[in-house]
Amino acid sequence: MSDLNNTVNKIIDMAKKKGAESDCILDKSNLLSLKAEDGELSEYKVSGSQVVGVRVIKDNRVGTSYSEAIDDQSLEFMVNQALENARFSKEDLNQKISVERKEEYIGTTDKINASDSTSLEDKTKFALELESKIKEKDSHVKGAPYNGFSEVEHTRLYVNSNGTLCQQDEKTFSCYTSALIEKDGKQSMHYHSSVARKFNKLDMNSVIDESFNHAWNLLDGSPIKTGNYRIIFNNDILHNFISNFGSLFSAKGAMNGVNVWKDKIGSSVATKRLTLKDNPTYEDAFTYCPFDDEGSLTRETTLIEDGVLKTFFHNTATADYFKTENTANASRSPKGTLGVNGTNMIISTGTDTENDLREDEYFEIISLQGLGSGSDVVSGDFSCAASGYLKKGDKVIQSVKGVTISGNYFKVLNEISGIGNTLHASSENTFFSPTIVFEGMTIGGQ
Amino acid sequence: MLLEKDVAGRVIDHALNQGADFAELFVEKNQNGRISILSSKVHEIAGGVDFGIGIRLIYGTKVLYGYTNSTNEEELKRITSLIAANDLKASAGAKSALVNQNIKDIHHASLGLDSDFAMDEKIKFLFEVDKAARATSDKVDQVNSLALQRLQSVEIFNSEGLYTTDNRHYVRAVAQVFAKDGSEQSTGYEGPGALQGWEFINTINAKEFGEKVAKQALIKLTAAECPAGKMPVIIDNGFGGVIFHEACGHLLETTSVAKKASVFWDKLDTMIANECVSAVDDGTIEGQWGSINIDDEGMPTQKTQLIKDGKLTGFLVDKVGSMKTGYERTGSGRRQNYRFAPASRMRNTFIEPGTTSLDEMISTIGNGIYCKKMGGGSVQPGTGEFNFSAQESYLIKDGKIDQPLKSATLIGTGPEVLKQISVVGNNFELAAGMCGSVSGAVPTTVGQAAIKVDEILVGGQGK
Repeated sequence: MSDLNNTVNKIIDMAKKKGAESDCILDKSNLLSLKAEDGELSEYKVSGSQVVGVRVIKDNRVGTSYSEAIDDQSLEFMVNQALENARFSKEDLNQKISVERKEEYIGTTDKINASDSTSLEDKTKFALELESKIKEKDSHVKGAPYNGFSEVEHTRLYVNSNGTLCQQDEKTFSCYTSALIEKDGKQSMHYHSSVARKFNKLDMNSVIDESFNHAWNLLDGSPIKTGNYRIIFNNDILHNFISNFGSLFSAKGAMNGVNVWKDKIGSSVATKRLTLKDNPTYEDAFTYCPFDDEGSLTRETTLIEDGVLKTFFHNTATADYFKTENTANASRSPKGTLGVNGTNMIISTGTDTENDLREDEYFEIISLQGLGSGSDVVSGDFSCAASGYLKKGDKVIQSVKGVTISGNYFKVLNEISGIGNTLHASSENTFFSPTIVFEGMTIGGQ
Repeated sequence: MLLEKDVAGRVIDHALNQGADFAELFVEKNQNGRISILSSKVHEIAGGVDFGIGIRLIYGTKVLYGYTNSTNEEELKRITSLIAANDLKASAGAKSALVNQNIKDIHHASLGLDSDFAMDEKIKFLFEVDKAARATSDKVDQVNSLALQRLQSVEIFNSEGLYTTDNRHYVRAVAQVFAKDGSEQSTGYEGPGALQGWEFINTINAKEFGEKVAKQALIKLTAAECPAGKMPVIIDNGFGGVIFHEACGHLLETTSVAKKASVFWDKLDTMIANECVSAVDDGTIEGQWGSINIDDEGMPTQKTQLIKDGKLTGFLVDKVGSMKTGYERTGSGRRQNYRFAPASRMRNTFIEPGTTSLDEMISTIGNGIYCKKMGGGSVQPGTGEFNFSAQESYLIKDGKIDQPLKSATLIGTGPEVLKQISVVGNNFELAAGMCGSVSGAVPTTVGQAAIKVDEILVGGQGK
C-alpha cells in the first residue's frame, strides 16, 4: 500500500510547490464478474484499475482534475490542469482544506474486509446456479436473461495538505438473477439481488425465490381501476422512492439555490410521525463509512425529526456557508467536485402493528419502473409504472401490472396514515424502515 | 499511438496460445472538460484523463473480459492469462498480421478539446445563456448552464489482423432553469449535443437557447394535473423519439435477441408495427451525437433499416450477436469505455417522416394529450414493457391544444404501441441523449416527426 501513499503524497507535494493547498482521493479496485447463459459462463471479467483525483485551492479558487494513469508525467499534467481550472473559477471563500489530524485513520475492519478463501471453481458454480436453479423452478421459465455474480476489492485513500490521511479497504460480493416466464402468450419478468461482505453470506435462494415468485405471480397481473389506493411500498422500493428525492437533503443544492427545501430548516416537511436519520456506521448496515471525503470522522445525523427538517447533509464548505455544524457528509469521487451524500438511512418506528396497517385494502408495490425519469425533484411531482399486489391483510386480491402511480412527493410525506412498530432492512441492508402506509397517490389503470 | 503495435501483437499471440478463438485489445484515452455557470458565476471547471485497455477473448461464443490502466506488456499478458485460465485449450492458429486500416473520418471537428479555443469564449457563451434565461421573467429563480467536451481516442487491435484508430470529439451544451411563483416551482431543461467540436456550440444562439429553456420552466408553473387513463396521444418530434428507442429499439439489439429475451426475437419479416412506421438506426449522419466512424469492434458504421412499412427488416448486430444469431454485423458494437465489453447498441435511431402536419394531427383528437417534450424512459426487453415521461405536455380538447399539464408517464408494451401509431408527421427532428445498457452509457440520438398514438396509458394525478 505504500506505493499508493507515495502517489498521493507526490501529488500533494506537486501542488504545494505551485503554491496550492490540496487534497487527493485515490480509488483502487479489483473486480471479478461472472455471468451465465445456457449452462455456461457467457462472461468472465477480471480487472485491476485505479483513479486518482486532486482538488487544489489557490488564491481562494478551486480546481479539480483526475487521472487514471499514475506515472509522474500524468500526475504533473493532472495537477497543472487542476490549477488551470482554478485560475478560471470564481472566488470561493467556503471551500478550504480544513481537516487536520496528525494520526493516520484506518477505517478497515474485519467485518467489511473479511478474508476470503473461496475458490474460483466455487464462485463459477455459484454463478451457473443463479441461472440453472431459476430454470428448474418451472418449465415455463424461458430464461434468466440477467444474472451474475461479482466480487470487488476496493481501497480508498484520502490525503490532504494538512497531513490528514484516511484509508479504507473493503470487499463486496453481489449476485442477481431474473426470471423471464412465458405462459399462454403472456410474459412476465422479475429481478432480485443480494449483497454481502462474505461470499457465504450471499443469499442465492432468496434471490432465486424472489425473482421467480414475483414473476410467476405477476404473469396473470392486470390493471386495477384508476383511482386512489392506500399504498405500501416494499422496503427496497421505499428505499428507491425516498432516495429518488434525496437531493432535498443536500446543503450544496441549497447553497446553489437549486434545492426547493433551502428555506425549510426548522419547518415541517412531513407528517409529525416521521423521523429520518442518516447513520454512516450503523451496526446492522452494509455500508460503513467512518470518514467522509474530506477526512472528517462521521456520526449519526437526524434529518427529519417529528416531521420537522432539522438539517441538511453538510461538508465543511456548506457548513461554513450556512454557519452551521458540519454533518461530515462530504462526498467526492476522484473524478468529481466536492458535494454531499447520505449513507445508511433509518426511518424510526411508529406505533402501528402490521395487522393494523394491513387490515384494510391496500396496493403493495414491489416494482417501480421509470421512477427517476418520471420524477421532478423541484415540483415534487412523480409518475411512473408500477406493479405489485392488491391485498387485504395477507390475502392477495389481485396481482397488478400495467398501471401508473402518480403523486407529489411533498404532499405524500404529509399523507402518511400509518407507521409500523417493527424495523425492516432493505435487501441490501442500507435502508431501514418500518412498514409505512401512504395515501394521496393516484393509480392510473383501467 | 496509445499502445505500441508490436506489444499489442504479442499480447494477442499470447491469447491465441491460450486457445482463444478470437482476441481483441480496445485501447482508450478519454479527455474530459466541464464548465458550469451557476448563480451567474463560474461555478465549476473540471476535467481529467481516463486511460485503459480492455482485453476481450472469445472461446466459441463465450466472452472473457479484463481491463487495466497499464500499457505494460507483462501486465497485459498477466490479465490475458488470468481470464483464460478456466478455458485453456490448444492454440487454434496464429493471428493474421496486424494491418493498419485507415478509416474514413466523416465526422470532422475543428474546435475539439485538443484545440486551443479560448476558455474565455466558452465561458462567455454560458454567461449569455444565463443572462437570456434570467431576462425572460422575474420568476426565473436559478439558472445552471454548462458545457461538456470530450475527446475519445481509441485503438483497436484484433486477432483477425485488424488495427484501426479513431478520434471522437463530443460536445454538449446544457441549460437548466428553475422557476418559482409562490409555492409553485418548476424546471426546464435542454441539452443539445453533437459529434463535433465547439463549432457546434457556435451554431447555437445563446439568447434563444436560454429563453427556450426558461419558457419551458415558466409554462410548467401554470400546469394543471394530467389526467390518468388510456387516451390518444400526440408525441411531438425530436426527443419524442424516445418512444421508439424504448418501445422497440432496445428489443432489436442482438444483446436481447440472441438470448430470446426480446419479444421480437422471432419476428423478422413479419408486421410488428402499423404500416405507416418505417424506422432506421443510422451511424453515418455527419456530426450527429449518436454517430460513429467505426464501432467499438472496429467495423465501419452503417445505416440499418429496422422497420419498413411496418415490417421488421433488421436487427442491430455486434460480433458476438452475429455469431449467436447468424445475422450479419451492422457496425453496432458499442461500449461506454474500456471497462465494458462491447454489445449491440443503438446510434441515431428514428422513425422516418411522413406527410401529415402537426396541426392536422391534433385536429383529429377530441380529448387527449399533446406531449411536446419527452424525458427519459426504460424498457424490459423480455416483456417489452416500457415507460417514459412527458416533461412538457398539453391537454387536447376538441381538436385544439388546451391547458399545459404537469409531468406524466406513458406506459405500454412495444408490440402494442407500435401498432397504435396511426399517423407519422412531417416535422422531423433529432435530439441527443444518453442510453444506458449492458455495455454502459453511450451517446445516442433519438428522433421522429410528430406521431399519433391512438391509445396509450397515461399516468397523471388528475381525473
